[in-house]
Amino acid sequence: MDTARPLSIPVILGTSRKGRMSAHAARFVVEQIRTRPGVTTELIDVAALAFPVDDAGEAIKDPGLSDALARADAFVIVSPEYNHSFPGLLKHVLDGYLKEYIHKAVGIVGVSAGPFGGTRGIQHLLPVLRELGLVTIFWDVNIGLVSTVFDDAGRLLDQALIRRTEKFLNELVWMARTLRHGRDMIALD
Amino acid sequence: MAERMRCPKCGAMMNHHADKLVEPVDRRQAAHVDPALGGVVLETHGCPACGHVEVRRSGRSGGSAQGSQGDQGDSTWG
Repeated sequence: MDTARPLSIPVILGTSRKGRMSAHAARFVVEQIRTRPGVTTELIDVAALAFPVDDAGEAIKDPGLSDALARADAFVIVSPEYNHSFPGLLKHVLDGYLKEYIHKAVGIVGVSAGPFGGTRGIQHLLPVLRELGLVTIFWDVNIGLVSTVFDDAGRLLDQALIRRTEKFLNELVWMARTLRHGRDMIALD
Repeated sequence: MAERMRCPKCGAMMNHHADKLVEPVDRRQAAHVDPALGGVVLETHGCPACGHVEVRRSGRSGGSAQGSQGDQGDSTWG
């Protein structure tokens, strides 16, 4: 395994809604990842991708995003809960790629205005990620009552989120390292 | 055992670490379905040196390296 190559863990912000509070959560996770030595990250904002909607799947693959996803060892998906599920645009973007995901780790940050922290959206997202070849971790970050966790400027109001995110990232980084070793060194047959 | 690939980016030998079953997205891909498995098998190869990823249809399914839209369930052609 090439240990000189830093782990890459981009954060995918899965909503394009105006005024989205999930953007504060995504930027917070990016900041937390950046404190970790040997790990790089970037924010992938689905609102900035301008995906066409007159086709689907790999036909609409964006080469730049494909490269970023292919470089990644793991992903954090920050998703709000819309009508008890995750945003349709997030599914549209995720469906555009496959080889970029296989045997890579993924963790989910659920965001909701209500008290449940996006748990219902996360439950819908998990089987999709499994089919894409991703390996889900058993930690989620649930951010319920998001307006009490971040103010409108994105400042953190609930310091407990730091501890919860630390545990989540510990597991995600471990899984990312383990799966990189497997992708690099362990043959299927 | 799948024939090993050489990384097109850095030249290192790649590691075949996954076979992913996907449902075909059109009739051309459907021609490569493995009837026993019910889909097209994509070999996934990773480069230990640079991290590059390549996929190709497995020898049993035939064909050349191509990705896939992925499994779209029963509505693949819908």
